[in-house]
Amino acid sequence: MILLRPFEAIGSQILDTAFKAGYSLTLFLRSVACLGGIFEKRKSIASQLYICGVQSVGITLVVALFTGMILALQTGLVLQRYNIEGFLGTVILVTLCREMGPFMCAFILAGRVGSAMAAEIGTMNVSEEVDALRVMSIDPVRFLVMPRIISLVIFAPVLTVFTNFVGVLGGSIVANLQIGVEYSVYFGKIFEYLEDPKTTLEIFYGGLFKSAVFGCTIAVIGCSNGLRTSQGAVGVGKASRKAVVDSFLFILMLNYFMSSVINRFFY
Amino acid sequence: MHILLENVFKELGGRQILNSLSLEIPQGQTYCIIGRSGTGKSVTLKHLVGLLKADRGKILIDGINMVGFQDRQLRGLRKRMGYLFQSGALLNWMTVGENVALPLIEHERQLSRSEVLRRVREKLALVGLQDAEDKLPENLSGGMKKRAGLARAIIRDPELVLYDEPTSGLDPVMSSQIDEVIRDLQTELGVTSIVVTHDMASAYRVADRIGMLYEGQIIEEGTPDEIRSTTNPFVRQFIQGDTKGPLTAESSTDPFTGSKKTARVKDS
Repeated sequence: MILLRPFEAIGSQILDTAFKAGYSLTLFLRSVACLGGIFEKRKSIASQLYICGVQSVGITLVVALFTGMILALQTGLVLQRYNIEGFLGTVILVTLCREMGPFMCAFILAGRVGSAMAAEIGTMNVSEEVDALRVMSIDPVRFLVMPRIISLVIFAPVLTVFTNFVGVLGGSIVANLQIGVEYSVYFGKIFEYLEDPKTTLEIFYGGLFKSAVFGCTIAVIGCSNGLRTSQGAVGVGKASRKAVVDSFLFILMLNYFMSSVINRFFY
Repeated sequence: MHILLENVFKELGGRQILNSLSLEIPQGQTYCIIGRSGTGKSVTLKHLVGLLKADRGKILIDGINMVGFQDRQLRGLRKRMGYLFQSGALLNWMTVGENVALPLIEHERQLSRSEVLRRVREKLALVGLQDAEDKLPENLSGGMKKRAGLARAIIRDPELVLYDEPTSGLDPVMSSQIDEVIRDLQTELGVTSIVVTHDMASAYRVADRIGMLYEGQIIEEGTPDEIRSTTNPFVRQFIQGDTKGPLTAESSTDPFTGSKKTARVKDS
C-alpha cells in the first residue's frame, strides 16, 4: 500500500489540476457570455483599469528601463567582438517587442494584479459577499470577473507598448555610454529595420496580441482562485499564492505556443 | 410566498446537517427557527435561496420545487426574496448608500436617481441608519453593518425575507426596533419571513410560529405561547438556557416525545 501512495498523490494532483483548468475555462466562457453587459459595467471597468493598470505603470517602467540597459550591455559586448554593435538597437527592439516586453509585463501583472484579484475576491467569498451578490440575483461573473478581464485585456498591451519604448530608450543610453554606439546609428538601424511592413506587423502586433492573451489569462486565473477560496484568511493567502504560480506557468506555456503560431504565420 | 420543505437531507464535511427536515410556512407568516449553534439553521436558510443544494428531498416555493435548479433558474426566484446575512455581507468598497441601492440599480434600471435615493433613505431610516449613507462598511460597528444589510435585503420590498440572526450583536433597544421592522413588513406588506435566531425574546416578539431544530429536524413547533409552555425537555432547556439537560448530555431521550429513546426509522 505504501508503494502506491506516490501514485495516489500524483493522480490526485492531476485531477485537481484538471478541475482547476476546467473551472477557469468555464469562468472565461461565462465572462465572454457576459460581454453584452460591457457598457453597463463601464464604471467598474474604468475603476479596474486604474487599480490594475495605471497603478502598475511605475514599477513596470522601472523594470523595463533596467531590462533594456542590461540587454544592451550583455548583447553589446558580444556584438562589439564581431564589430556589428551598430545593430544593437535592432536586437533590443526585436527582443523586447517579440518576447521580453509582453513576458515581463505579464509577470509583473501576475505578481501585482493577479494575486490582488485572488485575494480581493477570495476575501469577498469567505465573508459571504459573493453569496450576497448571488442572493441579490447579481451574477458574480458579470459583476466581478468580466470587468477585471476586460481591464487587463485592454491594459496589458498598453503597458507592453510603454515597456518596449522605455526598454529601447534604456538600451540606447547604455549603447551610447558603454558600448560606444551613436544615438543616430542606434535609432537609424531601428527605423531601417521597421521599413518592412511585415516585420513591423509581426514584432508589434504579435507582441501586443500575446499581451492581451496574457492579461486575460492573469485575470481569469486570479478570479478563479478567488472564487474557489475557502477556509478564511489561510484560504485567501493560499488563493493569492496559487494565482501567481498558476499564472506564471500558464504564461510560460502559452508564450511558447503563441510564439510558434506567430512565427509560422509570418515566416 | 408559501414555503414547503419535505424530507430534506444535507451532508456537509461528512456530517449529516439536515436529516429529513420537513417544514411548512404559509404565506404572510413569520416563522422563527431556533436551536443550538451548528444544528443547521443557517444551512436551512441557504437551501431556500439555492446557495446550498439539498442531497435529497423537496423544497417547494409557491409550489415550485427548486431542488436541482441552476443559478440562472434561481435568479427569478431570488429577485422576490431578501436575505440578511449574519455578518451583513456588505460590499466593502461601496458606501452604505451604494450597498443598499445595489439591487435597485441592477434590477430596476428604469428608476431615476432621485427615486433610488429616496428609497435608499427611506429604508436606512427604517433601520435607524439615516446618518450612515456615505460611510464605508469598515467604519461601521457589527450591529450597524447588520442593519445596513437588512436595509439592502428589503430595498425591493421582497415577498420573502430570510433573516440570519438579525438581532445578534445589537443592543436591546435596537433589537426591539429591528423586531418592529420585521413585524411591520409582515402586517403592512404581507411578507413571509423566516428568522433564524438564538434570541428568545426576539423570537417571541416577531414569530407567528417557532420551530426548534435539533439534529437536522424540527423537533417541536408551535406558537410563541405553546413554545413557552412546552414540556419537551430539549426545548425547555434551550429556551431557559439551562446548562444541564438533554441538549448538553449524551441523551437517551427522544427529542420528539421527551420519552426514552427507541430506534426511530428515518424517512428517506
